[in-house]
Amino acid sequence: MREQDVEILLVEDNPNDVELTLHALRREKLANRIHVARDGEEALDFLFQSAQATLPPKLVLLDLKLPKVDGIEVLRRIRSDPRTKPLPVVILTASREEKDMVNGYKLGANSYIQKPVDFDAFREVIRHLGLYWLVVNQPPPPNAFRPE
Amino acid sequence: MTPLTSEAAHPRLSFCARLASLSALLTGFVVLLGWALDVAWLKSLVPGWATMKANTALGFILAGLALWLLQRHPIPPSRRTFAQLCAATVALLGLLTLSQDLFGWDLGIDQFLFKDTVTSPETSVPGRMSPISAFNFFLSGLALLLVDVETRRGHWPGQFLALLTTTTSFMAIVGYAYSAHALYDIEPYSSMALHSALAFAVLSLGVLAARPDRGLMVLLTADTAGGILARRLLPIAVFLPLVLGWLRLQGQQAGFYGLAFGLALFTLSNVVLLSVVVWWNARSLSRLDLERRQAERERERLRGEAKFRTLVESVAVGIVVVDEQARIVVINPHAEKLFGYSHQELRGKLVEELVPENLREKHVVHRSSYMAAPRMREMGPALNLRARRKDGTTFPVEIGLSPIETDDGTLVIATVQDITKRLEAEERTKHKAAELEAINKELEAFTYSVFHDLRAPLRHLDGFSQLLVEEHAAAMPEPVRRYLNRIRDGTRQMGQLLDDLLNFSRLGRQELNLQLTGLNSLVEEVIAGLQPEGAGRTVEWKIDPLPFVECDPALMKQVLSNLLSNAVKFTRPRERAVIEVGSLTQDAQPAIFVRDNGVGFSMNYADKLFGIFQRLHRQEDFEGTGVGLATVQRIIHKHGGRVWAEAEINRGATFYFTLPEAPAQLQPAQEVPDARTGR
Repeated sequence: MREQDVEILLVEDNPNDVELTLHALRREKLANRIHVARDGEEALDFLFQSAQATLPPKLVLLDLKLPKVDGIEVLRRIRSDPRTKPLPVVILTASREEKDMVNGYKLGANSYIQKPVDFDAFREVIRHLGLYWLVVNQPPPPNAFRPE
Repeated sequence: MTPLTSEAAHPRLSFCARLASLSALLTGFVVLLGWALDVAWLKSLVPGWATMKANTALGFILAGLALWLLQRHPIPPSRRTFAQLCAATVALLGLLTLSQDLFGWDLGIDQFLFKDTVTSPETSVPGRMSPISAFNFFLSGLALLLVDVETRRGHWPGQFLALLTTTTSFMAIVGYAYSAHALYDIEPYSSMALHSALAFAVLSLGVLAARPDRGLMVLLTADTAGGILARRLLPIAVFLPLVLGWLRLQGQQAGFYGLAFGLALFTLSNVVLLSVVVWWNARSLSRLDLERRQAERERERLRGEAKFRTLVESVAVGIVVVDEQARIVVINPHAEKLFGYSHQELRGKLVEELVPENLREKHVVHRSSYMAAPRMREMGPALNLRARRKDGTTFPVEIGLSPIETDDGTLVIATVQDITKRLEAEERTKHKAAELEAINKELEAFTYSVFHDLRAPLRHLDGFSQLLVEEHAAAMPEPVRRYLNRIRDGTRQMGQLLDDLLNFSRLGRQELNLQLTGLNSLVEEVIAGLQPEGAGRTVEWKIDPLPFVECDPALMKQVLSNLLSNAVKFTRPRERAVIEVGSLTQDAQPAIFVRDNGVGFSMNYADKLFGIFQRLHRQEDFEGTGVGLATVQRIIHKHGGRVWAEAEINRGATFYFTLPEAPAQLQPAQEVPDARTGR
């Protein structure tokens, strides 16, 4: 059966960040089906293996600084494979480097967000994100993931 | 330095002067001896001629003595006094004798020494000298007295007196030679003896010779053409007419010719001989002058050559001079050192000796075409020139060529500089630049990760503190909550600090993206962004029309943002904040200012205002990181502008900055008042 197991794929190596993000999502009652990948490789494995069985997640929250395969590379692979190409990917990172923003957008990131230090602000960002991508936004239909 | 004495300068004249004084002395003594022993031929040279009187002889002794004593320099005062005493006696002798003749006195001085037994035929008073002799003694006595006296106008009266004496004695000599009695004999007085006349002539000339460096004598002794001319012509002018006249007289008396013919002969021979003398002298003088000029030119040339040689030899640049056939003519010591040859080895060799072997053929072609039209030429490092040392190694050079025209044809001066060191230095600089760039990149990467890695723990601190407060507030005593809030304040502040610092450090390497920017729209954007900060307060904004400037809009926005948010922040205690943004002209540059009526600051600390991490207010009064104004300054400086502030405690502050004015063609088209419509 092809059902959507995971709504959000959170790619984040730092356990503290993971916990804070999950906490924020949970508070907004959005964290029912979240998969956490702790590095780039794990994220890619999840996406390409699960792609066979399940529907893709509605949103990928992608950190840039990751062990093994970094976030930019993950994004490149996502966009270069037809099975993952339409995925909404939001870069959620500590970096505000122009270089990262430019690369992210050039590779087709749907959004770029710098994690604020202030936890209230961070929660506000997460709330907006969840609401927008999971509720307001129409996710790409399954046909979008079929190779041409 | 001792002054050059006249003796040393004119030894021959000094010798003459001494000889003259001795002659006068000797004459005087011999004649006195003649009187004492009554030897007639000593008294008068020729029997029947006038005798030299004893007083005259005495006068010569005294005058000769005075002249002798006045010779050597320096003259001790005692010697001078004695000499002047002698001279005065001589003058007095002359004066007294003259006065006897004039007033008919007899003072008894005439035969004071010896009784004159033989009275001359015409002599009225026995033993008395001729009035001409007396006059001469008066003159020469005075001349000797005044020999070292100069008038205020620079004349030497002693010389004039001596010259007068010479003239009168010469007159007497001529009188004897031509048997013209009137010239040495004044009736009814005794006549002047021939040896007296000669002695006077010698004595007076001696007085002149004793001071060869003064007055009239200067010209005669000068090393100039005039001096030479005077020395040569003067004796001829004196003696030639004398001799010719004498010959004429002799011839006429012998009855060879009459008066008219004799005069004609005399005039003619005078003309001819004087012309010959003048021509001959002029020729030799002219030759002398030419020689002198030649010598002067030669000296000038040698001096110039010496200068040139010194220059060529001392300059720290290799110099090689070649002739038209490219043969080496001159090579200076520096070039010897550069190439490892001595100049003997190179002189006459072709310049290709100094060119690397593989380039020699090409060089011959090049220099032949150069020689066809030689001109100044600099051949710099871009040409990659190399020169060859004696040992065959080569080195990079820079060469300058300049042709000069000489009597020996066109020469080319080549300056050669070894630029090995310079090239090495350039290489080192390039290497250093690359190294620096690498370090810069590394530093950039380092800053990047430091800032980002530092932010993560801050976020966690803040997040978990917040969760703690929210989820466990009930279990927490009040101070714990307060402490947690302090922790959160700290983390947020550090987060801000990191952001500010990162921005600030980025500014250093960020390239300016200059665009023509309207400052008014930037200010509006900034004010809109500041609304939350001014919330709940009365803030009155006064925005004047601002110019368009060429700047990086993003950075300029940051400048305005920092300045305006400061203004909002520091007016917080005011019930009614007034913030003004305007422009004025400062040193012909447009300056923008931001003025507020806030708490201001003391101008004592104005120098600290723009330093990083410098704050003039306490954190609990006005929060901040101390990076904002440092950032403003960095951005303005990057634009080539200037930033400064004026303030007074509790009276508000004004921040100014200047920006280079946008070039005219970049200014937006302005509404130009139309002259025709008078609008």
